[in-house]
Amino acid sequence: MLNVALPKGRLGEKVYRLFDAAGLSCPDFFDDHRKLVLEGAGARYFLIKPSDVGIYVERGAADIGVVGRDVLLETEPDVYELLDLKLGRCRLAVAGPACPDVRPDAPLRVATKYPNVARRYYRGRNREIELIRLNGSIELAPLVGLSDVIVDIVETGTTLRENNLHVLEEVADSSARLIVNKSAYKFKRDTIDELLRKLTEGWEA
Amino acid sequence: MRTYDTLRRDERVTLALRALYERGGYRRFRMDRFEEYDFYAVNREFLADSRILSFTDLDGRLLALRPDVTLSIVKQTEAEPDGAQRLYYTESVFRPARGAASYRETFQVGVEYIGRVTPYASVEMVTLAARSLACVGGDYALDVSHTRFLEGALRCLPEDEGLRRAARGCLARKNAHELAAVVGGVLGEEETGRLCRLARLSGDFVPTLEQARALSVNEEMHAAVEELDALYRALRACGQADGLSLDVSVDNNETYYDGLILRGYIRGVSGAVLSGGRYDPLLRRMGKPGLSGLGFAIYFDELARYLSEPAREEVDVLLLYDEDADPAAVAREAQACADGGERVWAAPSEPAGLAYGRVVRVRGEGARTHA
Repeated sequence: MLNVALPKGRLGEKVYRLFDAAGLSCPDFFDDHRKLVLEGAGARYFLIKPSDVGIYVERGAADIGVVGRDVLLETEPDVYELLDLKLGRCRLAVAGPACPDVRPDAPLRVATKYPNVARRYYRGRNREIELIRLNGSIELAPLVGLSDVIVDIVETGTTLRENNLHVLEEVADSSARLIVNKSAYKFKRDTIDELLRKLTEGWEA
Repeated sequence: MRTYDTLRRDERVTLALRALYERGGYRRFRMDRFEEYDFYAVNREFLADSRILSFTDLDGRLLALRPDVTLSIVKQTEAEPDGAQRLYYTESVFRPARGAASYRETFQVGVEYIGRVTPYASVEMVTLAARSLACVGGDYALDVSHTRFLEGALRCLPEDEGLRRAARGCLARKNAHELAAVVGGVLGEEETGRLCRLARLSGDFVPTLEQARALSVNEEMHAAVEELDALYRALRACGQADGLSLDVSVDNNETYYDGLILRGYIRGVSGAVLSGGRYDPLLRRMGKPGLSGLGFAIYFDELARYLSEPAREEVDVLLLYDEDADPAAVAREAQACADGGERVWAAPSEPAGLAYGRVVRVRGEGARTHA
């Protein structure tokens, strides 16, 4: 029996369809319910907040999981990353007004829900920053003067456009990744490899 | 009840490990003093975590609570280049806790072989690692690897340490898709494909070694494969190859290790519980270039939950005494039970939740009845 951590929300919908196409379906995937644990054939699925998938897998509560690369870059869980599922493609980017009012003698004020990604990105550019950690509506921060720029995911760019914001720098590409607990990969290798094979075939079909 | 039976499970495992190492000729190394903070600070790259817990000694010197034991062993070793010093330790180390914003004291047991690491010494160390995992109990897996195989494979990359570090990171995460993106810009399709195959090259020792042999393209890789092959043949010949697998992309600190790498797992424990390898670069850094070193440590922080036992109150004898009983009579009765090897709990009334084998009553005048 494999324990599989899947993200709830928009990415989750795409991932459930991929699992379904690979013959790894679970009747409750597409039903409207509030269950957190779903029983499928040979697997138990945990539906959890995307940002928590890495920790469930690293700590072994789940053997495998599906999570966006943006979350992996932020949380850096100690796991194997075996597949790029090529779903939920987006990019992590620095965005702000076309010409942000940046003072060269002051730290750049960066609003984000990816503080580790932002810190690493600007450290690599030798740029001092003041980090403003937010949990939602990040785009509002530069509009009301809370920050100079934001570091956030950009999918279609609609929210940025509608608020007169622009992508200023690309930080990283992101898509859904299949991650595996290191110890589980030693003891459940055949089952995990079989699941990987089905997923790969399912998505190529 | 024997004295041994009063030990917790982690203590029993520690004793079994000590017996294993003592029988193997290893002598116990005790850390009975604190190292100066600078000792760890200048060797930060060899530490699992660069943060060090420091304090000021009575004479004003800045000392540290040890984040590591091997550094101190290497500093103090009296091994000769042609000889062998065999040491083991059972010590606490102080490191930032995983997922917590504070330091934590965790327990480690480790083994070090310093001097001339012969092929036999490698067989001895892998055998000790496998037996150590068996002492913990349950199914185990011991991954063996060799740094030179991967480093040889990375020779095809330009001399760009940032690029190599990124490639090593991808290999350690078995992340072939990102590795292809990292090296694809500087390597041809064939070389990129070969490196990406290494990312997933792990499993049963013999078939994996054959695949590694087929993917070897230079002397460094060939030599690593031959060393692993000879090691495995010797281990199999002496019946010590069970539970052994080969993982060419084991995550390792390349400034610390050069050669054999060991990583041990226990079914049901989420991370590696045993980690080690050949650390000649550390000996060179500490001014002992003529020496080689090979060792491993077992991390009890990873094992804590696995080895913990359910909290339960259980005694052999519940000694129930009347409120007006003579305290000396109660004490004599309790001592008699304990001397007889029984676990005893004395109380004026039966405590809730206590499991017990039998009841001994001490009346006011000291008379006893058994139930």
